Amino acid sequence: MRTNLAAGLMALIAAAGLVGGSLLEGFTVWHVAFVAVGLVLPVLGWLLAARRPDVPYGRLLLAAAVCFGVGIFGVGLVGRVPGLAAPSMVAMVVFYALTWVYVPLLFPEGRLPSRRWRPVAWGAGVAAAVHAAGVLMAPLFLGGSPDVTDPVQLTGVLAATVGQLTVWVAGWVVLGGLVLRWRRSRPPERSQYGWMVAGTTATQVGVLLAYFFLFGGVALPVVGVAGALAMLGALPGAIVVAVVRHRLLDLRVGLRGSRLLLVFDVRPTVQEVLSSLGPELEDSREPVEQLGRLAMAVRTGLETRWAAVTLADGRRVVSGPEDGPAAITLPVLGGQGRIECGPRAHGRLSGEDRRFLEALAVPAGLAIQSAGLATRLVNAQEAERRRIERNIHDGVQQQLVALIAGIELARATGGGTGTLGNLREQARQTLADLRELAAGIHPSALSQGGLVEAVEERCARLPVHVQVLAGRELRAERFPDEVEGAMYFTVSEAVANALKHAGAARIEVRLSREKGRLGATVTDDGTGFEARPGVLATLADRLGALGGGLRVKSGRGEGTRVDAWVPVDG
Amino acid sequence: MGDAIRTVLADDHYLVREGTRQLLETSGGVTVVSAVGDADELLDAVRRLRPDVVVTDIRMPGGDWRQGFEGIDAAHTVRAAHPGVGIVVLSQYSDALSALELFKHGTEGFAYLLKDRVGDLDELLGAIRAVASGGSVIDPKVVEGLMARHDLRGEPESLTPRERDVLREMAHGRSNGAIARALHLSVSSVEKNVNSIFTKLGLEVSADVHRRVAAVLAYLRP
Repeated sequence: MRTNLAAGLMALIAAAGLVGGSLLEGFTVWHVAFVAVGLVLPVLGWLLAARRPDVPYGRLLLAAAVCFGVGIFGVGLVGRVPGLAAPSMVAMVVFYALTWVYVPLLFPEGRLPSRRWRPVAWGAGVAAAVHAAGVLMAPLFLGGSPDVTDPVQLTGVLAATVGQLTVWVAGWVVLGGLVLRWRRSRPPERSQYGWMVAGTTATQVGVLLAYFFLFGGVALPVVGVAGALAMLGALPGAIVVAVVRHRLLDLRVGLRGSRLLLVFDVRPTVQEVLSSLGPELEDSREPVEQLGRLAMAVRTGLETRWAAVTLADGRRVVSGPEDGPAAITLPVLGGQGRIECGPRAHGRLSGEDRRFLEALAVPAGLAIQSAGLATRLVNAQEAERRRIERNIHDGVQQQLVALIAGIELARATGGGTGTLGNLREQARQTLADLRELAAGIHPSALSQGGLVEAVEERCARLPVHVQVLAGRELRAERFPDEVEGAMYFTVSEAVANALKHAGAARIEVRLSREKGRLGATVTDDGTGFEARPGVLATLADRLGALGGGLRVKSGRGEGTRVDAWVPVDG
Repeated sequence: MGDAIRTVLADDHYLVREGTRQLLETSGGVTVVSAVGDADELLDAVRRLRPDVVVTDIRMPGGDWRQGFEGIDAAHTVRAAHPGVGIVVLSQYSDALSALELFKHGTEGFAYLLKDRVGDLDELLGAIRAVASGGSVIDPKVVEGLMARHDLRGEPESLTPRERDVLREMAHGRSNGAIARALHLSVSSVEKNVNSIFTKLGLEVSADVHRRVAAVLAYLRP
């Protein structure tokens, strides 16, 4: 916002200087034309600076526009306020240097094409400084004639002449460089450079015409004024064409949405992409689909030929035709995957594009994380089903077979009371095992009595004393099935581990609800173990999917403490 | 009793193993010479005792065997080393895959029965006798599964309900007389149905019940 304000202020100063200075001089058709052409530069500079604050080129144009405005205002004040005339002339000197040398040299992004151009940039800068110093020493072009007998004024005249000539020659050198870049470039940059070459050439020719026919005494003022206008308007005009027709700096003019306004349409900003991506990610429940949307958002956002999101496990979703190596590769959120994108369809990827990608990496990481979580949960469910199938198959099913065999035997042998009693015992055992199995799948106490009831029921069947601590109000409260299930099985598993692996003699289960969290803590006095990540991973995933978490604290001989929590309403 | 079929029994579940052993022993036609708990012990017992028949559970955890196929793989190993030993595999799985796995090298001397057949002593003894003499038996339920899958593929020829019943019995390794008794039909009616089935399915007509099982299986194989 602040950059926009500064850019607007600069453009306003430039425009006001130009209009004011011209009006002070007179009001002819030439002046109007002069103002009209001159205004292109501040307007263009303002739009570039406001829409692409990352690229310094807009600010360069704005600086030139401000110098020009101040200069013209100064020229208008000549004769009225003599003291202001000299600094205004310095502004004009800077304007010349900027438009002849730096605007074409730094095209299109405000950077030197290569290090080899440094001497030219510095040389032109020194020459402009010499020129400015000369202007300050001699009252050149300010209405008065310099006194050549005065050594200071003579030096000034010489300095100004040499300085300006040097800057002008540097301008031609830069034009040569621009032609080379134009010849080497490929479409679509080629047309942008083409217009720039034309604009710079027109400027330089305009300079010549203006000098010879306006100030040089040759009586063809029309040609001179045309030259001056070319000098003034050719470059901004060329840049405008490059923007409008060839999407310079990704700007283009067009209608956006239903608003019938002529606006500068640029690539969507990070905020725009994020705000439209959010609901899309919510809409698509499938993890892979989410990654696909993400890849597409990267691709459309950066206008790259393709973009891909790759997970740590090798799964990869690509949007667009992947027809070459990646231009940018960015890891996301703790190395769980990466985003890659191919080259831009137009132009190169800038630092701003990289920042764009970095901003997208955050939601990408979250999407990848949830995709991984979903896969792990599905796998865990699958493993659990297999375990249940094995238990049924090797347990109850076999017992029933044995029962059938026993009954057949009793039938064949006319079995006595002992045999039948045995069979009844076997049937009872089968039923008990079946109950146990069903409780392992989903305890009926959980669906009927709630979490506290089910935990107490589970702990009452254990061979050691387990203390279950829970508040009275928690006892009556019910939570969503998935919350109760996750908490119950976490407690159940923690208690089972304490018995089976830690050989605990005392176990305490504490259920609580505070600050919007349903919590369970299981502590035991068992042997403990070296706590490492991945302990109870399946349960941690299950709690994680509900927005909760699991913490295991243990050490050899120190017992174990398992903390689990899930957010609940209120 | 001298003609009792010497059998080795293998099942990992103690109650099932003992129940089946007592059941077979009481029949009088079968002597259980050894009852073992896993595939390795089974191979060892067969090598030592040279039984006529092996009755084994399909699934017996332990050893370096394919999980869930320990009984079938042990059966093939036994057959390779001792071609004359008949093998009855008892299975909890009624899916066709496990049955076809057992019959992949041929049907002769193999039977695949669902485990609840231990509740039908005649059935179990029949299968043991069949494999002892080189015959083969497939549990009717498995044949039904195979037929249902066959129907899914939408083959043009269609069997009448009666023919389907007869086909199931044929797969079960029964002779025409036995089929007639089971379905309460006359032997000539069974013969007519059998011929019709063979014509419809393009199978070679054969009175040999062993070959009939193989033919039906070959036809139903997915």
